[in-house]
Amino acid sequence: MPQHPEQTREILPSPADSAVEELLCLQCGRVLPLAPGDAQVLRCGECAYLLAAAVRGNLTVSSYDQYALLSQGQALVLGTPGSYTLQAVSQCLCMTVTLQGEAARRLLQDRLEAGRAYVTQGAAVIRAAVAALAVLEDEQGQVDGTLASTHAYTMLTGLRSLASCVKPSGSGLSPLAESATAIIQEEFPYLEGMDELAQRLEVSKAHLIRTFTKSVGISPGKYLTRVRVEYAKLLLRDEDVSVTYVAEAAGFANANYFSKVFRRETGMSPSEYLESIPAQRRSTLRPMKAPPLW
Amino acid sequence: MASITFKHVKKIYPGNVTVVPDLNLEIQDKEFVILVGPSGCGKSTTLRMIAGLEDVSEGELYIGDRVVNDVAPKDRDIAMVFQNYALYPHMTVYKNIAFGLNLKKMPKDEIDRRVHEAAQALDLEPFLNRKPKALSGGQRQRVALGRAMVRNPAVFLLDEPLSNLDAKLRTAMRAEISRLHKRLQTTFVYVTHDQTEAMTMGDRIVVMKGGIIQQNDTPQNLYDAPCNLFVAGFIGSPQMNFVDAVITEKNGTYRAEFCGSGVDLPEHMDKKALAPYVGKTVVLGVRPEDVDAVPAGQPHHLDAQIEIAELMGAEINLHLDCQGAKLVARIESGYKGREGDPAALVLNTKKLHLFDKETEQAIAH
Repeated sequence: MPQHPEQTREILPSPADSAVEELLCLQCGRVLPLAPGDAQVLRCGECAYLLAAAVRGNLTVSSYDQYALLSQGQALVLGTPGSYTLQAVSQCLCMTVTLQGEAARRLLQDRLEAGRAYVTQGAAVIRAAVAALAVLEDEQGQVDGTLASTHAYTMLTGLRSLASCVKPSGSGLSPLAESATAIIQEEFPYLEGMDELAQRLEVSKAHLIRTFTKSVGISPGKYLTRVRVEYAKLLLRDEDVSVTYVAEAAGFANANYFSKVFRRETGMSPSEYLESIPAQRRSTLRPMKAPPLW
Repeated sequence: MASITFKHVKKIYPGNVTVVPDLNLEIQDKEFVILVGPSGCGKSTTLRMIAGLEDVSEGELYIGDRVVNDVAPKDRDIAMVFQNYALYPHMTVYKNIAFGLNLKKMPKDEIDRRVHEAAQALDLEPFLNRKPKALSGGQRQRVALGRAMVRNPAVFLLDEPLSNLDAKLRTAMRAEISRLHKRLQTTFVYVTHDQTEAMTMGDRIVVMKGGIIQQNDTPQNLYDAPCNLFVAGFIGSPQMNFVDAVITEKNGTYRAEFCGSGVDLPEHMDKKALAPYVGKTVVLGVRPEDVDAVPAGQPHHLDAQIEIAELMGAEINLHLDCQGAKLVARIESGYKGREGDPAALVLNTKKLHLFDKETEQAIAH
């Protein structure tokens, strides 16, 4: 297997003939080394699929209606059009592939739940494909589209034959970290802090923090904050809600604290974030999968 | 109208993991229906599909006349109460109850009226200014109920709301929830793994296993006429006794032979159902309360030995070995026999149940 590339690069194959393109078209392969906290926004087009692999380290993948943690070795298949933010939790090497075509649809669609699917150990399959394309590009210049489709097909059949998809908090994490992320993802607005989480999991707070950080790459408190901020982003898109409401619904004590944390995590204030989203998209983006506001 | 209808609903997780294969269920408006079963049976998944927290993979889910498969949770006119209360830690009890109403742009005085009404109904008025960490588990659960109540939903969904409470509090809260249902006259769908909770609270109980409804019936019918071995063993505490028995017939009288002895089957048992099983082994079921123990040596009784005597106060649960078969008898506390003593058992033959050993379906009661 070719050594995989470690430097940032984007591989854009040449167009294949129309028959091949309709069947399976690998549009782009990317190598993204990311430092902790670095983020990259990628788009998944209509009728396309975005595959993201955590080759090394852990990262989060989020959009307006979902938030996922990818631990090392895992891959995520996304089939809903939109923008996705990939953010490194720890020092991380991420590889992505975007593709479309009838073969992609047939091989991936039934695996998706709510527009996404996790694949345990899927990162190796995607890495192999991206590494092969990188070698071809280095040797021959722009990769031939038909050849790229061949590698895409091998990659897709490899992904499909892997073990069944896992739930968001997924394997690759220690059992304690998996339980902790499951609770955080379901109950983040209602968790007071790590004391409560540790008590629920029947471990000491120190043990929870140590084990979680080692397994996930960030502390559980930081992870909780990230999940809350992503949820707040969903709510902010609703024009009917105030920042105070968003803050409280996401589990922050008050709007001031929320704004401070939001800026620290995203580099923007809540209102600056809202201005960054095109106005015509705001009203169509409804957080279908957000935790219920009971 | 707040009926709930599942039509051929399937829930399949990625990797082709089918949790609910084909659910058909109708819950009438204002009913109190309990979904009960062991862990992993699909009861919480079913509840979460009603709430919109899980997608429906196939089939149609109706609330009233509306198909809600693609309707967001907040637009389904439901309210949910969770096992872990789901209270905002930084808000007072008042604010926790009122929070969801803010989104509906309700006038402040209307919000205030609803909150106080709910607080009064749930004995929470003295605690309105407290935060959740200053409340007991029972108080927190009442706050969660209050938050659901003020929404005036068409349907209440309760997901094991009493599991985190101690036994005494659970008993008190069961009564509280039952009273709430009668007062609100709203559809309640309640999930529990505790069959005692199910039997005492519901108008109707849906027993589930492996995502499949085993029996959908009133509590009394489930108790008196369980449709299969699973339901028979799940409902009732202590569990129903099961022994292998061979059916015989002589001059029109059917008999079950087991434990070196046997009993005549009652006249009311359906003879047409029994006839195919003559000479065959079936499973005979009898509830502990239908097994009596008398001093050893009595004629026409089953000989047994007491292994354990659990003193429950008003009753004793005797765990017995009857010719190798393990039985439990629930008898009055005056019984003198203890561990190691012989005993003679007499069964209430009017309360026997027979099940097909292969299919596990009920043959006759």
